[in-house]
Amino acid sequence: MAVNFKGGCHPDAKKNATYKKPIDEMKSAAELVFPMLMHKGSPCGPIVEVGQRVLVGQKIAESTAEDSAPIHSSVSGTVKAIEPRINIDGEKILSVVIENDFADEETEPAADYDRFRTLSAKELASLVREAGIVGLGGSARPLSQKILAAEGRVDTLIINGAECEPYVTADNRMMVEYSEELYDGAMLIAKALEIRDITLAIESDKSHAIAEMHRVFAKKTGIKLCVVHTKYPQGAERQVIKSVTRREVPPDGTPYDIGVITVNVSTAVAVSRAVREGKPLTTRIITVSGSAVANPKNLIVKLGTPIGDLIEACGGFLEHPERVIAGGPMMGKTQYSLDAPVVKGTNAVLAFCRGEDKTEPEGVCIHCGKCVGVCPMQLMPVYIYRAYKADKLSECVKLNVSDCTECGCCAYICPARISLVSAFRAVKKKIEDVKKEEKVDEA
Amino acid sequence: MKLDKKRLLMSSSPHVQTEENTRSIMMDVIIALLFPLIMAVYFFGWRAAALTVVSVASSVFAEWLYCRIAKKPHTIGDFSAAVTGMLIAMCLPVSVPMWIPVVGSFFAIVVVKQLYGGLGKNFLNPALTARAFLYCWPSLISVWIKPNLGENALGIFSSVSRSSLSPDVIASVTPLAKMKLGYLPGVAMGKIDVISGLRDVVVGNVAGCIGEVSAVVIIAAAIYLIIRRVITIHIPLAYVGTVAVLTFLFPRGGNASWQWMIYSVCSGGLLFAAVFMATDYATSPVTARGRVIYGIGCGVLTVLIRYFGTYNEGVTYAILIMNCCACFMDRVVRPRRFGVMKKKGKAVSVDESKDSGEA
Repeated sequence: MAVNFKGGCHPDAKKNATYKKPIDEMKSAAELVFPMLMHKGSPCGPIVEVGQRVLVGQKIAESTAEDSAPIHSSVSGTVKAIEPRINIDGEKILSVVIENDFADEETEPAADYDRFRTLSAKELASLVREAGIVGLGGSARPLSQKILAAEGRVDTLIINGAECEPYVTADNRMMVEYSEELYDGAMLIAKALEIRDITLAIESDKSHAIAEMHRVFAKKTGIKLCVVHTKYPQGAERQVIKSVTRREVPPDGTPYDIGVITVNVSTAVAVSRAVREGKPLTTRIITVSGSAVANPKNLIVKLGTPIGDLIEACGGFLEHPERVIAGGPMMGKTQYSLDAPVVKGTNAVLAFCRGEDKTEPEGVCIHCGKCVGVCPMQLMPVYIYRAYKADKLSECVKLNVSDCTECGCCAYICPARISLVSAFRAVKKKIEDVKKEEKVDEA
Repeated sequence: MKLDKKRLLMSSSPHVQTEENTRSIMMDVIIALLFPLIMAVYFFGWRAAALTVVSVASSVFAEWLYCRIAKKPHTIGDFSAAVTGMLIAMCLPVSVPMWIPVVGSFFAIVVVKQLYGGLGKNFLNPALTARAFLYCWPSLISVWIKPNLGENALGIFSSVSRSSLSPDVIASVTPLAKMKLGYLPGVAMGKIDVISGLRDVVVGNVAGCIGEVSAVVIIAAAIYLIIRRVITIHIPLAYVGTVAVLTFLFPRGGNASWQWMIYSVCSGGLLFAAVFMATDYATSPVTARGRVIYGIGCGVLTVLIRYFGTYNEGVTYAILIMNCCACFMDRVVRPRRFGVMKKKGKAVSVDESKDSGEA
């Protein structure tokens, strides 16, 4: 079976700097910032007050909305302020600022229950919700929402270890160092959703992780290992499902429609911790890399740590970087302040020197069709772009611009260096605006 | 630690890009075109190189001049005009006077390319359209020279006319002209046997345009372009494959199928055009399926023109006709929407998706 999907590209992986480096601890920051939106979905509201003392693992913000996940303090200390602070999206949003007292005093583990009983889907959902667990592969959607939506509809669980973004090695190290927890977390989810068909997808270039998982699966059964083709964006949900099961998520549909749920490897580990130890999500693994970073590392980072502290933990900058990126180079966001804190979906912090990424001024489209060849959603970026330039929104809709996942393959491959992704973002926003207007008109 | 905002670059993802750009692609095409050019110098002498230089220089000058007059940013740095210049020279016989490629270049660059909006926007292949235009002087661009006589007969820059050449320098006809009458070149002349005749068309020891004569060298250039991912194999393979199948099935003049097929494929600039002309980005479809259909269309038209048309060479007009259809093909032949199988609007059912797999 071809363990592959159509399209995609092969950006220079550049994972060597951190590929073999064990996950490192880092010194806690003096001040941690918890934006009220550390996931994708509805924001939380603070439930602590300025001056209040908080402990590690204490819930500091929550929301009743379904598509939300509570936020827990990752250190012990005092709430210094509740005010708008910059986040990695470059916006100022309401944040709880905590001054670290470096005591690392922990709360009592959450609920008291039999930690080795099989959980139902509803029980697991409420447990991971309380633990604040979201998709750690980058989607950052609340896991509880996923589990509830998948209940009774899925027959296949894919544990996604296809870490396709260049530079990033956080999930890879997770698989090498936390394989037992990974297995445990995967089985917990599978049992709760009554899934028999469990597959761990790993890209073929991650030989250490593959070897480690083979070792674990030799003793424990139930999970199949599927080595998938090394290609970007192999780790994207729709693409990994296609590669492993040959099924395709319909447009505007969800993986549950075709009986599949995907969970990132780091998320599975977080589930295991939440269930077995009662620990909420307060840390995550982050790769700090790029040519401007003195000593690239994989770090275990307390959520809320400003990205500047991560850079310092890696020896600081070699020279002033040309860009700093939160996330991978294909889909991450450039930063202009090192004060922005890491959130639940941050898998990497990268800093590039001048000239590391060969960006050039935008040229004219030569109609080479390379963007069509690489689009993993089988779109025709060249024609969407031309329709956008001609301001033909309806033509863009006909060309299914809404299917675009903004993976960046087309803009990566474009020999004329056209900013296709930002064009498509603009198109999608325009279409949404028009839809909203229509709704208002109807009302 | 603080960041100096003036030294920071804020950009939209993706933040990395492939090293390949328009200029490097054009450079690769130029490198690939040097393969047949070197063969041409070997067979036809330095005059072939001189014509190419004149053609490239006038194309680049035409582009520069147009941009200057139209007050547009200069685009000669992307090397696309140089490629057009080389292509124009490659599809002319070595005996043409030096002003012919100059006229062709100006027509290709100014009328066919720039007036339609420049690089990537023209719907006809500039070099081929120029060649079609140059048929305004049929007597000048159909004086065929026997290979291996070189500049001894022609001189590098001297003007050449049929009357100024000694009869044994002029090849009466190209292989294709003979095939038009239904017999194989070598055999008909009675001088050489079939095998050495085949060897000549494969290596390129025949009369023809500067770039088109040597099949092996063109195949080598094609392999280079495919490895460098400048072109995909779809169009050349579909095009040449279609001509091969049709000529194998319908040989003319009672010739053996395979002989007729090899002669057909190796003659008349078919390989050159399939590799360098039909794959022109601006004038060919962008999807894999579209490219295959486009290639088949070129092949069918080429054979039809060769068999039933008045011209000996079908390639130029076959590709130009398909150029006109390319834009339409991109509108009709679109990739299947991800997550939707065959029937329009119908979502995938699990069983279906297992069967269909990768195209």
